[in-house]
Formats: sequence, C-alpha cells, structure tokens
Amino acid sequence: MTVWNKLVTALRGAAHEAGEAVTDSQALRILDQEIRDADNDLNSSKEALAEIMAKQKLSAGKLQTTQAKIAEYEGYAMKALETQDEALALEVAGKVALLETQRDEEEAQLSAFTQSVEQLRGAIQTAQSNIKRLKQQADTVKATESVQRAQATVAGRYTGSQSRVQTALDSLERIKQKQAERGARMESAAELANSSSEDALDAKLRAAGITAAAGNAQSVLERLKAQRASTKQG
Amino acid sequence: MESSKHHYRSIQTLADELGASALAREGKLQIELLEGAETSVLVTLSDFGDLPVHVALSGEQLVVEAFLWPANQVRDSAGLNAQILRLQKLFPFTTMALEPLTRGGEGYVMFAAMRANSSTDDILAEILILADSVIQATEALAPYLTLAQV
Repeated sequence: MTVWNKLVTALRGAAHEAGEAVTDSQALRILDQEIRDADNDLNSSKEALAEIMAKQKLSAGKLQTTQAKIAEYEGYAMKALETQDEALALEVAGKVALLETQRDEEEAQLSAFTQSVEQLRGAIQTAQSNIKRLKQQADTVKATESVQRAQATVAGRYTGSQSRVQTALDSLERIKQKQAERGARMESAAELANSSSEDALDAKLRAAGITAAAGNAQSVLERLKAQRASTKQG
Repeated sequence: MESSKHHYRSIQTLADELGASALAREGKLQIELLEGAETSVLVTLSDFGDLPVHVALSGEQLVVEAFLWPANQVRDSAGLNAQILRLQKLFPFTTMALEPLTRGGEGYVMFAAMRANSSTDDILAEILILADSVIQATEALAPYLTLAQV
C-alpha cells in the first residue's frame, strides 16, 4: 500500500501542472527509484534475518544445554535422597531451581527470536513481490515507449505526409468500403444468377422444340407499334 | 536481483513465429520488424482495414498496442473521455489510454499487456482481440471525432 502512495505522490510532483502528460521517461525514473529503494529494504531485511537466525540458533543451543543440566542435577538430587542425605538433596534442589529460572528466561528469548524470524520472512516476501510488481510496471512502460517511437515511424506511411497521420478511423473506413464493395458485388452476382437462369430455361425450351423466340419477336413488335401509335397521339 | 528462470523469446523469434503462423501464410497478417533503440514488430491486419498493430517486448512483459487517433482530432474531449470510461468494461482485456506523441501533442491508443513467455497462439489471439476492439471502439466513438484533421 505504501508503495502505491509514494508512486502517485511522485507522479503528481512530476507533472508540472494538471493536464500535462506524464512522460514515459518520468515514469521510468520514478519506478527505477522505487525499485532501488525496495531492493535496499530487501537487502537490509535479508541481513537482519541472517543475524537473527544465528542468534536464534545460539539461543536454542543454550536452552538445550540448560535443559540437559536440569535433568542431570535432578538425577543427583534423586541419588542424594536415596542415600537419605536430605541436606545434600536440598542443596542440589536449589541448583535445579536456579537452572529452571535460567531455562524459562532462555525459552522466552528463543520465542522472541523465532517471532522476529517470522516477521522478517514476511517482510522479505512483501519486498520481493513489490519489486516484482514494480519491475512488471517498468517493463510495460519500456515496451509502450518503444511502441510510441515505432508509431512515429508508421504514422505517415499510408498517407505519404507527416501532417496527416493514419488513424483507426481510416481502418474503419476501409472495412466499410470493402463491405460496400462486397455488398455491391453480391448484388450483381445475384442479378447475374437470375439472368443466367432465365437463359438456361429458354435454352431448355428451345432444345424441347418450343421456340418462344418467334413469339417474343412478335409481341415486341406489337408493343412497339402500340408505343408508336400512342406517342403520335401524345 | 534474482535471475529469471524462464526463457523469454527475443523480438526476432517472436517475429519469426508470427510469420510462420497460419494467418500469416493465408495473407491475413503482414509481419515487419521495426528497428530502433528497441526493435519492435509491426503486424498489419488486412481483415481489419490494414490496421497497424505494434508488438513490443521488455523483460518479462509483452505489449500489443494500436494507435487510435491524435487528440487534435477530437471534437468533444470531455464527452469522448467520459464515453471511453463507460465503454472500458466492454473491452476488459484492453486498455484505452491518452499518451504524449513523439511528434508533439497527445494521442489515444488501445493496448494490452501480457507475459512475454505466452504462447504464439495466445499472442495472436490478443492481437486479433485488440484489432476487433479497436474497430468496435472507433465505430462507437466516431461521433466525438472530426473526420478531417486539423
């Protein structure tokens, strides 16, 4: 959460006024700083972890020794009791009591170290995933930066001029144009299909000896005669 | 820093793989390498009105991006920007953004980011989805644009 706040604050500072774009180089500089800071945190956490783990190991060793000593002296006390030497047994029991106090202190210290180790491990994992996320961001910015430069190369290609750049609207227009052409082609193809099927029918009729040709010529002539008559009148 | 365990393709191998795809062989996409400080791939899609789609690699990220239009072609900025926000949910795998142009001014773009070690099929799918989204968004937002350029 803190990482994001820092980023936004830094970005606000980078854009001089509201409405001014944050350039990729500004974003990369900020991300770069964030990654280095997170990496430093990570390294200090790792060093601290190594230190604490060493102390934890020592502490565990001490505890084990103390526990062994308690068992040892308890044994002596038992032996003293067996030989009816109550005074000696009492003295040994005193030693055991001291050792038990020591053991309790050492147990407390060990659990404190164990807790620190857990916390540091958690902090390290968080720092690692922060770094990973920041690097992904930086990589994306770098990639879009190279696309920006590439787009400048492509900008004037189709139109042949630098003042008029190719846009998505041009692509949309081309698609609509193609669809219109395809639509027109399909219409004329349909027409062709219709007319050719009529020819096929006539061909069949002719082949069957039923010539509509002569009849057609006759009816056309009649129609033309009638037209001539009506135009004369009109 | 810990080193990456995965093998991420170089821009050259990506261009080769795209060029070897069925779509490329059918002539539906044209692949071109654009040299620069960072080489990128230009994919031109004939089915989408020759829309140019850029593909760029950086570290673990791969970006697929198309240019929409320059900011100076917008008739109603406030209206357009608000409408883009409303449409954004219809294009959940792509992002529309406004960014500075190298030649000056700002331009609208649509892009998607994915992991560089994605399969060629996934990358192709992303390119097609982006192209389709660009055309749909352009058609939807055309009322906010001027057809002639300033």
